[in-house]
Amino acid sequence: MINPKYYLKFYSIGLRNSLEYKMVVISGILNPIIGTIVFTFIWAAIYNLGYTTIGSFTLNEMIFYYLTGMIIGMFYVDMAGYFQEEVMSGHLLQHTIRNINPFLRRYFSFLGFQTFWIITTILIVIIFSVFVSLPVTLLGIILFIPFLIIAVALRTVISSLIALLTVKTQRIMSIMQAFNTLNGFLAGMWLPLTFFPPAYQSVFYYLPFQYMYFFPNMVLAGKITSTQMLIGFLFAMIWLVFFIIIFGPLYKKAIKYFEAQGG
Amino acid sequence: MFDRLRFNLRLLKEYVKIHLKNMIEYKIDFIVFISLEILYLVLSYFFIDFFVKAIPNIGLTTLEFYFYSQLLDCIFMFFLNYPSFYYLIPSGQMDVHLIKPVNVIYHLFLRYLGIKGIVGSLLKSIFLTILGVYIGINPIATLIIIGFGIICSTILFQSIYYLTTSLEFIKLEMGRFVFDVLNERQLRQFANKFPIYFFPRIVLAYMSFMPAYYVANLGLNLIKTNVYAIISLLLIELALGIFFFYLAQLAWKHTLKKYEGFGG
Repeated sequence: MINPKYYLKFYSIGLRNSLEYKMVVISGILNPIIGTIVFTFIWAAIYNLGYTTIGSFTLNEMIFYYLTGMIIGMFYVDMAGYFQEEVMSGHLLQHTIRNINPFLRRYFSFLGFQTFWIITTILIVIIFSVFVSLPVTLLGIILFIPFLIIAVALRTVISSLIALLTVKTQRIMSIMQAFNTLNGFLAGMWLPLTFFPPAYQSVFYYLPFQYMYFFPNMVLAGKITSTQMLIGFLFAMIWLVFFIIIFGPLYKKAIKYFEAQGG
Repeated sequence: MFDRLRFNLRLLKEYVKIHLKNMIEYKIDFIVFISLEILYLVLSYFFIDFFVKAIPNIGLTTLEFYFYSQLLDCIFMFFLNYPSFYYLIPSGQMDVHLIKPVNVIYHLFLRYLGIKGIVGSLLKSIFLTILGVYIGINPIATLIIIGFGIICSTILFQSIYYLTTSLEFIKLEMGRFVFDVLNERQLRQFANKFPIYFFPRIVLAYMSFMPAYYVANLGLNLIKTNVYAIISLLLIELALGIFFFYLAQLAWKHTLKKYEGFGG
């Protein structure tokens, strides 16, 4: 049984840790600002070649895509590196004895750690929108939230599933990197999926990747119809339920295997 | 002096052996790493192809842009695959390295040598040599320039890293802070995704002491076969690297005294 008290405690520990090193906090604020300014200038130079839209994106929409992506990315946690460390050091045993789910523990402490930066990034986006008119509406924000939750849940479950491989192979960072590369490309992190030929785009609807980045981004920008949104929601939920269902038994099996090995 | 050099070379040999053994021990990880690199090569090609098709007057063909982007990856892969040293100081692990009878940064470099990255970089340089032939670059020129690019960029990057790590001795988190604020990683990633001539001038001026600036321009000039520019870029990068190395050594000696002064 999950005790929410434990996980709230992990959240508060994460939050405290994030503010412990003040200089890191400052660099955490500066980096997204510098990144956004450089990104804006690069794309402005590209659009100045004589384009009003590229891949069906105007310059402002492109900047907005990047900014929203930055916010979504803030919620993504590296489960593989963490779990590998827990298995290799034997700390996993402590969690299993205390009946604490190591993935939830990691996510809550991570969320605590990220809270300050998530708020900061959102503030940066708001300040930026004073200078560049961004295509965001209140309805877009309301619709975006459930898609963001699904995106984060999908990414976390998939990354946790990959992390489980640690008990067998010990080193899984390359597998995680392979997933990140594939995800970066197919989820639209490298380039909005509208740059892809239409045949590819229709296939992407059936895959889980775009629901982790591109789709919530498009929902917030109001660039998809309500029918597309509904279909997208359905597919995203199917994938999420599927991964959650297979995670349960695989997690139990992995823990058993780990305990059988002597921790 | 020669005894020292021989000792350092023997150390290098021993560590390379250890890392290679380690790499072979975790076979699946290595196989996945190589598969990942192949996957990355394929996906990058598609990414660039779609990008160039959407922006035809970007100034480079798909293959040229691909070559430019992969050259950055190839050179950076050589020396980026090890963990941050900043964390070794607050955790006290640095103390273990400080008492070894060898240059600390050299020892750390060997201890955490990213052998997979080096193997990957060497394989990618072969790939780039073949790719270069398709866009009219002499294969020997490609190999020589990658080789020199790796040497100059490693010296420059390591020296900046060495310098910022030394600041950590004055105040914890200061070295990491300075390195983070330099924004080297983010700018390198942008240089990988967009031709560097789209960068604003002020950013280019700022980047001119970072390896990404030299490697990106090296790629562009290699495509244009501008020999004079290539030699100039390599010489400036090397000179900067040596300058930062001596600066880092000075800073390291000075800050280490402070660190030892309060008991390590």
